[in-house]
Amino acid sequence: MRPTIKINISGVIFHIDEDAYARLREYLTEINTHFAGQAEGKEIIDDIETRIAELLQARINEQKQVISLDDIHEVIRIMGEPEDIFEATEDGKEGEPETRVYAGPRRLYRDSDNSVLGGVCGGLGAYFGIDPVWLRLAFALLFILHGFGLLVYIILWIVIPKARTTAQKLEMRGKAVTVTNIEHTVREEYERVKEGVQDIPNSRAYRKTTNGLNQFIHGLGQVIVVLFKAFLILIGFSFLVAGVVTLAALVTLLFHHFPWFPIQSWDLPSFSLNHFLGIFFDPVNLPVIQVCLALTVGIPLVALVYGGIKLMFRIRTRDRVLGLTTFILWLISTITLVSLSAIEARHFRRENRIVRTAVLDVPPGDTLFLHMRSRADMGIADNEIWIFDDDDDVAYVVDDRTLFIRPELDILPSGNEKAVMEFRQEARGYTRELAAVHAESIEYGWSLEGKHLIIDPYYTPGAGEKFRAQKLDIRLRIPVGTVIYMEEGLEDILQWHIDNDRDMRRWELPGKYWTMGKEQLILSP
Amino acid sequence: MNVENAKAQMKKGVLEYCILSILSRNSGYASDIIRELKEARMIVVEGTLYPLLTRQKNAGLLSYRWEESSQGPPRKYYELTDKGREFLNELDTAWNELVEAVQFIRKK
Repeated sequence: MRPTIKINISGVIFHIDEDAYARLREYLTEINTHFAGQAEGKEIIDDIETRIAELLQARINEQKQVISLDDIHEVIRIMGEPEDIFEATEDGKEGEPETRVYAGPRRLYRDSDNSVLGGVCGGLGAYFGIDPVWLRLAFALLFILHGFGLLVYIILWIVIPKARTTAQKLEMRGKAVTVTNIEHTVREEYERVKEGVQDIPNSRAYRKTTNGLNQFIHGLGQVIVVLFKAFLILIGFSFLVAGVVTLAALVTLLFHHFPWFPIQSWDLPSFSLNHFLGIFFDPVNLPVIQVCLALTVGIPLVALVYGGIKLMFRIRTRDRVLGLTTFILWLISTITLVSLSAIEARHFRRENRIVRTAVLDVPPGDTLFLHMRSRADMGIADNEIWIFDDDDDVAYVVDDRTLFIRPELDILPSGNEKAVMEFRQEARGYTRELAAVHAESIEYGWSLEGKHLIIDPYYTPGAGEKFRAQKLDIRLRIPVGTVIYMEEGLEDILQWHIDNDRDMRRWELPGKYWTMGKEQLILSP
Repeated sequence: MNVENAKAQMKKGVLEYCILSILSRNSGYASDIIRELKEARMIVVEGTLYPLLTRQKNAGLLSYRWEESSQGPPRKYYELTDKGREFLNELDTAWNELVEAVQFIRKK
């Protein structure tokens, strides 16, 4: 059976074929469009609709319950094409302009008669009363500055329906959207809703209720509907803004480092999510992960923008197929992402630790000066760095595509006459053996020049190594009686608490001379 | 200036007069008026009548009441008001004068 639509014309319910419905709606819209601007328009439209209902009623019987396209053609033949009706009734009212202007509310459509690509700018121009050239320029500019302009254009292309019928083309250039005619539109919509909801008490019953209370309630209803409408537009607008801003950020993050991406000149480090993900994920999976990430995060954002536009411009389109397809796509990408992450997570199954030691050639009783290399000395320029937390504990350097992580330094008595540096390197891996390999690969730089021990602020996972929860604890063991002086700034890598006789916090230790006691550091006078 | 256009213009002016004339004999539904007008070949399509009826009603020439219908929605039942009757009388006079004037010119 072909799908039919149930409609209500003047309080009478009809079952009507889809194509017949489309034709009837187009017809009524054109009539509506013409008369809506006239004082008695509503009544004329009602009369015509009533007559159409009557004619249709005469065309159905026990055997034939559904209105077909032929029925509609016949009814239109009897009632007359809109042009004939308008021509015969235009009685040259005084002062009325000759050109027929559509007086109904303006709606947003894509203008296929005035299009370069999809008619989006043409339609937007008609809606906002701007020359589309400016909009095209704006979109082009947006695209050059930020590739994201294209994405917005495509979304608009999908969401805005094309003006197909004459009626829609008229609606596209209808009355400009202002507060007063929003109210007008809303009232119209309210009527439509009302007629749709109530089928038994038909419009005649409604018209009879002319007493004050009913009018008041009607008026109140209108006010509420207007407010609701305005609220929806506001919500739509905020959806739109939120979606657009986040999408712009996402696009930047995902594609920013690609050579074809138009903009490179940010003050921010030229961070690329692609490279960054490379620290964690198998490079083979990276393209898949990136696409999935774009879809998983991007689809809800696009949906937000889409919904926002629909709410704002009151676009009524059915997009169940589109919605379902997108949802399935989103589901697939999310599942893929989760699966790949799970596969990646296996590399964190086991933990292992290795310990390396180095003997420092420092004469006992002498003073050891502890310095930290600056980031610049390590070859990390400040504008290339991406820092994750306030303490600079983890840093990511864009050009090297390397993760830099702070070690923790503890200072202890050595128990003999030798100064020793002990490196406890930890990492995770699929097996304990692999974990040991990753731990082994940790790279950390230091040097001893006479009395000066110079250490790096960061270690790296090592060449070709991925992030495997590496950890580096450094234990500096010095003989009892050795004096140690820590340079300012060293507190950043000191362990949370270092035993000392003054119970000083770690950030109070630098800049002072400490003597190693049997158990802890003792402040030198 | 084509002939169809001129004919349509002439008819347009007379149409309102015809509606009032029909209703002066019998009050009736829009569909009755349409039938008569169609018989007289004054109109071709029904859609043209409704705006005229509404305008005449709003001008106080016509009044209507709702009548239930055995088939379909309730219908408007139109009749002439007193003002409508006066208006029609004036139009009758004007029409006669117009016909005389035209005949006078054509016979010359």
